[in-house]
Amino acid sequence: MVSDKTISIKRRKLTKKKKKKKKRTLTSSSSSPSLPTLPFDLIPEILCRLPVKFLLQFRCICKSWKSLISDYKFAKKHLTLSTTHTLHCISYRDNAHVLLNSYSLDYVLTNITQTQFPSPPDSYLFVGSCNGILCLVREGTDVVHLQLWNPSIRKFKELPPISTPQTFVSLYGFGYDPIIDNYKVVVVYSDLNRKMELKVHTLGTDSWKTVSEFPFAFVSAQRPGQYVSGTINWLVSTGIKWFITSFDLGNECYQEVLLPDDPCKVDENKLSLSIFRACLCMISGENVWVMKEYGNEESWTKLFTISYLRVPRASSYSYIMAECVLENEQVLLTYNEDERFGHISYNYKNDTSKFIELENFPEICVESLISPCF
Amino acid sequence: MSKTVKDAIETIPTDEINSISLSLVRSEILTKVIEYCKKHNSAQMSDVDLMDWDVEFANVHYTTLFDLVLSANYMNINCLLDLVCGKIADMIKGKTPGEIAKLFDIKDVSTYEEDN
Repeated sequence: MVSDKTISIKRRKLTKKKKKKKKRTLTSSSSSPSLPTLPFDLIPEILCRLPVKFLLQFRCICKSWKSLISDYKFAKKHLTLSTTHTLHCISYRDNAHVLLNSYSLDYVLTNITQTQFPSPPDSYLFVGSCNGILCLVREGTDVVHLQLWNPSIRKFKELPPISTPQTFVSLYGFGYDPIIDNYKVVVVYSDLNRKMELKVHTLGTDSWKTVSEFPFAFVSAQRPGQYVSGTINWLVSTGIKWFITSFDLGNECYQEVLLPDDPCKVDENKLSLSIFRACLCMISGENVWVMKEYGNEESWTKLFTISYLRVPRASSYSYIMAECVLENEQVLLTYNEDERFGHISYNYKNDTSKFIELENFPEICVESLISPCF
Repeated sequence: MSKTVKDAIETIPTDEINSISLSLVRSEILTKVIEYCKKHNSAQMSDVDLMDWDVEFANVHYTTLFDLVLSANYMNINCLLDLVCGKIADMIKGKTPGEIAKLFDIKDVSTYEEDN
């Protein structure tokens, strides 16, 4: 039987519209406005812009948010947008515990949190920091203990101890290897034969690997290495000249990087290597240099000069030097007065200074969700 | 500025196209999106003024913001998506878990407290 359906189909074919050439327009549908539900794949776009403390609170909202916030890929996305830098300082004021004082890096350097260091009370030094993880060391007689800690998410990892025949470990370093998307800790020390050895620990493994002999014989150095672009950098001196030794974490090879100034004429007491805005920053005397393109010595650029004499009471100090550049046009200075060290935050644009109460030398790092635990 | 529209224009032959259908975008929202794109393409304003304009532009109710997120995502306009997501992130900072669950229409709300 010929159904209505067949006829209606035919009808539809006959009434097909002719295409007309019209001016290109964008059309849209209309519907009544009510709060739309965002699909779950847009939630990371919003959450990755939040500081860590809110993300930790929001983990409790539902399982899928908890899973998202704990996900490593989300942590990496969050890291790329994280601009919250914190200045950390170890405090021994409490007899029972080692504390970490964390200051937000703003104009006033306000103290925001005090966290208990989850390790036995002892003397700790900062090795460095990378992507929100702090690396610290506790030096024993023949053994050295290193720890990784992200204080924002309270994840802590004790690394396997490394035995060192001498009590003095020369150099340390901590950074990110982009080739394997993992973190490495580096230790350089002289063995019983007075050979300088470099050992590497890759996060997630349980041992230290001997890489190669450290190629430069140096008489003094800035012990904690500076991490930039997949490399660890140490300021070293052969006794005649100062230069930077760079160790590539991925390729595990060395490179010599020259300083911007005449390396034989630098004032040792006013020389420091640090990181500023993900670039190597060299402070030599009054001059502050930045290596805009890592590895390219031509890209050393003088940012500004520091007039130490303009710092209040500068003449009463036996020693004053700049350690690193902070955001908001500030430089962190260390001074010595009557054999006691102190710190000043000096604004080089408007010549203002502020004394900062820091017990020990601080470490500045970005906040992140990246965990050192596997 | 919209990768979706750009792709549509590039893939369909010009004499066959008469309209690009954006059926997921409400007309009021499309008007706002066009306003944003025009402003950002005009090069008449300084960077600082444009930033101020962006702040004003994003100073709207949640419904409009959510619609803008969906549209910017659908039309693939990254800078608008950044702006609106940033604004929403700012607005939810002070909210309780209950308020957030309501805002994002979360059904499987947890009953346990966050673990430290």
